[in-house]
Amino acid sequence: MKFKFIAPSFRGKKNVWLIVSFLLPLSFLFVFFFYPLINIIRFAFFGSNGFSLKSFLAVLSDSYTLRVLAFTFKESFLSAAITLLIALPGAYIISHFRFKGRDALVSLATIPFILPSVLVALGFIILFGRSGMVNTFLIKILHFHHPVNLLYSFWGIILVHVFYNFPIPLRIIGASWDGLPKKYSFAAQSLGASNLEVFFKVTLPLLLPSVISSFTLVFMFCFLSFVIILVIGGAKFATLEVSIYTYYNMFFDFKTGSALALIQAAFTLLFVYVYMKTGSFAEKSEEKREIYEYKSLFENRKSFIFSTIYLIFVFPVIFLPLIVIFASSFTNPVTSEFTLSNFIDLFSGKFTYITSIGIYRVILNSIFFALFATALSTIFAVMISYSVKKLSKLKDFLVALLMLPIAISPVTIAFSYILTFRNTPVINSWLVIASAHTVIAFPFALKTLYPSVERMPRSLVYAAQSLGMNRLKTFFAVDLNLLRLPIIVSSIFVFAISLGEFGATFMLYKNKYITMPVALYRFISGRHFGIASAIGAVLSLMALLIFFLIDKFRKEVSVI
Amino acid sequence: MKKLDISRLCKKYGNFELDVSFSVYEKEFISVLGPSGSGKSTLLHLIAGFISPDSGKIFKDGADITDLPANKRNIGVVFQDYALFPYLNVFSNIAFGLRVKKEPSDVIKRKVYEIAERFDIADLLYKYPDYISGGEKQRVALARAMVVKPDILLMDEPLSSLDAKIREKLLKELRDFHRQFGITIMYVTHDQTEAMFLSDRIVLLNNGGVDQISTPLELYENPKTDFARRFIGKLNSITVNGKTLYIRPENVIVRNSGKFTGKIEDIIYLTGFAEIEISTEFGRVIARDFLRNVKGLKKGDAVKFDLL
Repeated sequence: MKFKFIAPSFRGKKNVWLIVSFLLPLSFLFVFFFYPLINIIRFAFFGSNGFSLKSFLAVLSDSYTLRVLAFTFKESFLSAAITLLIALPGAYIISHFRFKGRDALVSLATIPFILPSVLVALGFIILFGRSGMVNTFLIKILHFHHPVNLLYSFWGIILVHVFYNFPIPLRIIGASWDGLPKKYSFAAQSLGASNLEVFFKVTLPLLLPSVISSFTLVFMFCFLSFVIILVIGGAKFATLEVSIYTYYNMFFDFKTGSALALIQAAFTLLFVYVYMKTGSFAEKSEEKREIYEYKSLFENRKSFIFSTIYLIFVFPVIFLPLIVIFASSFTNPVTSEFTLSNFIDLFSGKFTYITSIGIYRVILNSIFFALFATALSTIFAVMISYSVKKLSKLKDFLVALLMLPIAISPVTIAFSYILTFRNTPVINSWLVIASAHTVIAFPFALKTLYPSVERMPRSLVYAAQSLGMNRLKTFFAVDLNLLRLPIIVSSIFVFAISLGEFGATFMLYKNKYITMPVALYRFISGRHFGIASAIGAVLSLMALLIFFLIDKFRKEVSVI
Repeated sequence: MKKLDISRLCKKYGNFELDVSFSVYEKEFISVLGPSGSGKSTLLHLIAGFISPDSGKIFKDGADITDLPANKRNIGVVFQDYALFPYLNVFSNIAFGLRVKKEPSDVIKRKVYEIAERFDIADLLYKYPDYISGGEKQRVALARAMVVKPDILLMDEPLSSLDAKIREKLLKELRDFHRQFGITIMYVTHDQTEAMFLSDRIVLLNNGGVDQISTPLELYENPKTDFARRFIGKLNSITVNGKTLYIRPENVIVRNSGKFTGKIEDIIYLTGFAEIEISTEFGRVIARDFLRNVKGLKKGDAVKFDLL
């Protein structure tokens, strides 16, 4: 039916490629995203007696659900608000000053996307956990009798979230602030406004769209927080995401799980909508940015002291979990002395009883899933970007529809697979994990590649064709060359997302297909922090490598 | 009476250095004219107080305002593209300065309506800047700047992003506005036509320094430097008997009784008039005449002409 619907726009024999490149990704997404999603709706609303709102409303009004909802909102709101407050001075600094290391600060914005959340959790445990560095210091040096609980609490969760996310508003608001034409604040000044009045009456209203959009984004990330809550919140705290997992894992309750997943999806859809609608204030201004609009950090003492304190505080903090993980991976957990034994234990297979399979296999699994997801989502994104162009009317709607996985949480996606494939051998195969990774990564690939294909100068393609090259050859000779950079960046980014993916994998994995983040989680749960640090160090190294690779291309292609 | 006095005002950026002195008189319309990079925007920003000078002084009504912050100077500014706050409607844009001054709301309302009436924009008050035309924006920007009764109005190339037709209309509006309100205006532009049309006097700026200050007519008829000659209109430079003469093309008259002879190299037809390129014993000379007078002339013709 879809084919008939589309066919009038795809006339001619030559367009068989377009039809294939349209139907192939769509079929994949239908099987591994839309159809499973429909199953969630079915489970939530359809019982043995057909459609009924009763059980859904029962879940919605259940006191446990309400508690979970309240906690999720409270935790997300506080995390996002504090994140914003901490990011704002940084946004001011990167938009008003030029100094060494400014670019580095800006590029940190990709960290929350590519640093696996389970690594962040590990870093904070090593630092603030019961037997962590701070407590060790308190007990050994300051002779405390008991370790202090710094981490396993509500504010511990907020702390980790704030740390994890603050580069996002820093970058988004900073870029928007940097792009604000000076003329507006000049106009206000000439009308008698003081600096404070300029900030509140001019700068803030102009920055509002970017403040709202970055707040929404951080709010959503914290709303969907999973492994951080699992590790730090323990049994005491649960977000919607955690409770969907719990209902499936502990009670095997598909109905309640589905209802919760739908409630969550309704909210995340709203957040994605707000995020997409707000964007940031950008004016097509030809106003030249004069050199004097940027100050040197050294221009006056007040700004120098303020910025230096901020930067000294912020820079180490952002890399702190990584530094701590590296340090801990070379430290004997008992004697606190330098040792290689964590790595030796990891690679010699001493702890295989925890991972069930050898560590090399774990690493290979991770790389395999990441490669699979990268290849598939990139190829699909290119295919869709090309074929969708031909559909003038439906284009925007279709692209929005295909971006939908971004609003559906990883746990929900995994849960929908369980509902759909539970009675088939597929559920026990690698395919469900690989597909989940692909579906999760696909919107990011599409978001990077679709605009690049749209913007591609058609004249070059026409030129090649007028010189006698057929369209297929042109695609490989011209198009792919023009798209090389976006494809590279999108691939690296998608690779990172898959490499760090936890929620969906955790729901779906069988021992054979355990990945690095899941293995890491198992080591943390078993309180084997030395060996957790060792595998964490390997994963960190990969994440850092990806970070620097993306940063290399950051100026040409934007991923967020 | 001197309204504004600029005394050895200096500002350096890398290789560029602005160093200017001049005065602006009460109710005068003075233009600062110069190519891009001549320092005219920097000068305006210095006078408005958005940036501070490296050295030199600015006096307004005899008082030193060099170190006064921008919001205490009472100098109005109309910006390039007008800089109307996009998130405020026209009423709130105009009311901005009054609200900052914490005037009572009924006073604000009265003043906004009054000035809107004067600028003929009363029906736009509840529209947003994105939804009004370029001409309307200019009037709103003027109203916003004027409602707080500034001592001087600075204008930074307000017409530069508009198309030619509307520009001509707005130029007239600006001239009428200056006559009606009788305010001192300093107008920054790179467009000589605008400066000629509007100004009582023109400050010609070149590479950070004042090249010439004079009335438009004086600047056209008697440019004092090479830069002024090159920048304002077209000018033939002819060396006769070792002496260099500068003659405007319209003062080269092609006629049969002409004293000099030459050969037509090219004729360029423009709207209403044409430029005739003539090779002569003293090099190429350009003559300009009405189209009706060049009918019958063609490339390669021998012609006679006079220099006025």
